[in-house]
Amino acid sequence: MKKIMEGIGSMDGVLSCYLVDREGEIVEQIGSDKLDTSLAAAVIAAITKELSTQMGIEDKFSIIVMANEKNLFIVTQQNFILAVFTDSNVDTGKIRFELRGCVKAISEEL
Amino acid sequence: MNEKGLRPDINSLDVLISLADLYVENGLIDEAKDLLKTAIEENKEEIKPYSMLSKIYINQGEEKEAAEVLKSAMKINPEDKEINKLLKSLKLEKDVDTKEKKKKPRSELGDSLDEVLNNLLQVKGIIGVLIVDDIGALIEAKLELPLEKESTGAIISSIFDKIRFSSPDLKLGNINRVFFELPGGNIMVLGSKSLRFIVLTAKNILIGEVDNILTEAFHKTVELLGVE
Repeated sequence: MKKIMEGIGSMDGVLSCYLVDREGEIVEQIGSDKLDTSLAAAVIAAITKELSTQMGIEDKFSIIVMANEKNLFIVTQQNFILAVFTDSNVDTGKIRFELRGCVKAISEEL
Repeated sequence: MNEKGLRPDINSLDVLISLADLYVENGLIDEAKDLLKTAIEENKEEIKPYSMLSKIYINQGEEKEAAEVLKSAMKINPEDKEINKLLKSLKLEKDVDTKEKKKKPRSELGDSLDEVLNNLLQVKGIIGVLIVDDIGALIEAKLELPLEKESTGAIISSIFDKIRFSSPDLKLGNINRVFFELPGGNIMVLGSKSLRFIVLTAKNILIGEVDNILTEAFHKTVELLGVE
């Protein structure tokens, strides 16, 4: 799993990458930042849960948060969430492209 | 029913349509298309699968494919009201695409909120704009979809706020925009202190292509409403 995630982790501008279950527990992580990782995983799961509940979408959706310090890419699948923190000036399209491949590989692995 | 008449035939049109509907609801668009193509193959004289497939193509921005399906349906029943309506809307959209959208410089959004939003809706792939305040109350809305404006605006705004309030825990800084990629289409939210500018788009829209005009429309709206 870690090897799959390292593909994204090695990209320019990627700070960290988290594989989280739908309950907010970290399954795997790469990269290091100043985040409280357990809290971050719980917050990410809470955001996806909010969207699922409010919009009635069970799985398979993405959220891209663009902020002035960092960007956050969240891809939600039926049984896991992949979250990637990047620099704010990162190439969004490139990250999304890599994320798609990574999500597919993780799904197969799981 | 099958030949024995004892149980429903799993290939019956209604089952195929229901299944395709279920696929669409769950974002399995390609699967829904394949199923409807099969339904058309097996029920060449039935209008329903043509109509549903064309709607999927339209929602996906695949107008050429939608037009082909609708033309095939017209050969079966030229009087069908729904098919005629879909074809007409497609033609109207195409006319706007070729005449107005290309002529209009993207920087000229207009001087009133109404003009700004109407001009934004002229951009290919943008299917709705909602403006709500910081508590999710609707200020203005222009939608090409049959959605309940008040509740749609409030729901999207509350999710945006959930993310915004989570920003300190995630150390993101000030959030400029949030992009939601959902099974039925995409949503982009640009937010200021007292305004949420929500744009609904078709599934296949290119973010980079509309990002500048959305940002411009957002700033223009903030200016016109005189809010922070």
